[in-house]
Amino acid sequence: MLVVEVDLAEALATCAAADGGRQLVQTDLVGPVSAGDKLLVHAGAAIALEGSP
Amino acid sequence: MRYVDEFRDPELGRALAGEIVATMQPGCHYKLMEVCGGHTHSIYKYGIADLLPGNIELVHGPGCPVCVIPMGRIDDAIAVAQQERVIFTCFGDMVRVPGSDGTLLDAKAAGADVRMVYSPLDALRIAREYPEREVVFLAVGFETTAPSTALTLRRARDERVPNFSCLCNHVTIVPPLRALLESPDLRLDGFIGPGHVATVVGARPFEFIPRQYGRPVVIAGFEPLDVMQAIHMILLQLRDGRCQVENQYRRVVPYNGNPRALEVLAEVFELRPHFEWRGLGFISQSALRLSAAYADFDAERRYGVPGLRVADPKACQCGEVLKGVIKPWECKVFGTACTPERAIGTCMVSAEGACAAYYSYGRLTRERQLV
Repeated sequence: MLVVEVDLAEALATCAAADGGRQLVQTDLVGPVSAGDKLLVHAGAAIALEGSP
Repeated sequence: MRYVDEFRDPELGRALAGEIVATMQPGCHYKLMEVCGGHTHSIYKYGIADLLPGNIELVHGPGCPVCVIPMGRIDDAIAVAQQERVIFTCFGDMVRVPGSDGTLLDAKAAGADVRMVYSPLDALRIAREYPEREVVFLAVGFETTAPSTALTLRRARDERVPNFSCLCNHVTIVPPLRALLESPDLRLDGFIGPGHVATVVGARPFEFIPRQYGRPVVIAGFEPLDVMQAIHMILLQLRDGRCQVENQYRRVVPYNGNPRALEVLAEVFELRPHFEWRGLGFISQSALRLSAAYADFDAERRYGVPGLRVADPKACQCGEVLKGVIKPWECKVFGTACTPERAIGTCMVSAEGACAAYYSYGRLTRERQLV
């Protein structure tokens, strides 16, 4: 999913799926993210930042 | 789209299929297990099986989290959902999984407040919105989804949300793989390893497979070229007499996993002594429950659940499908009494189930040419 908006204080990000749908995602496990980052998301939590294992 | 288009290139796919055929040893039959249900879907959605010769047999593994939940746990979930003041939340797949006397959807139709959510965070939001109600989240999934549950429970604790709890059915992937490898029913030549589980736990936990059982493992991504490259890498290992864990999905999977995810899992969960898997029976230390530090959020302790063991319907052969012993189309009720619209077994319910993949992509029988 693509990061659209970030709430750093809460470790949350609004992300867009390929179909355009938006979802609130917990980003605690991947560290600070920025708009435009691509996240691997499972059940509402980002488990990896794609391209940077 | 980056990381998608380049892994779906049909020309590269055909070239890779040629490389796979060129790597095969004459007269050999290869039996490879794709552990994860996500791989099963990619294989049939993108027609990968059609690009492979019949000498390469793909066997579907136990890595579909919905499929492996036994009927007794669904009965437990329904028993909690039917309690007064409870809002019962779960992923969409779970509402259609049959228990011994119906599904969560049936319970909802009969008056239980069952709601589908995208994530445990959604369930926590509902708990905040309805402080006078008890909100229970039905947690299922492997190490891929368990971190989301763990993070949400940590939030619930930090925010002091007392009306939130979790009915935990999270499972771990290594014990069932070990059980399969010990099974006399199944001879496998290699494993396409679960890329998303490995994102969390890393590739290292799979090292026991080459070390103790002499079978190669390639951790793979989920795009069609990922899966094909993984098959090629396994065949190269077999041809060269090597046997190791390789990581095809390096753009996402660190060899040692995600340390933050492992840390929150260790904080929130502990291993159950044993857990029942559909088709595989009880497997020691194969599932998670909430740790003592999070006991207040444990729905099993809060409500008490029947906890009965319930046998699968006799007509259903999900167990054999999950063990890779039969193909979905060999099941007696596949595509007739059991369809995605009216499923008897979990493998037909879940989006990651092998039966659903075969049914959705028209794999009602299977004939391929040998090379």
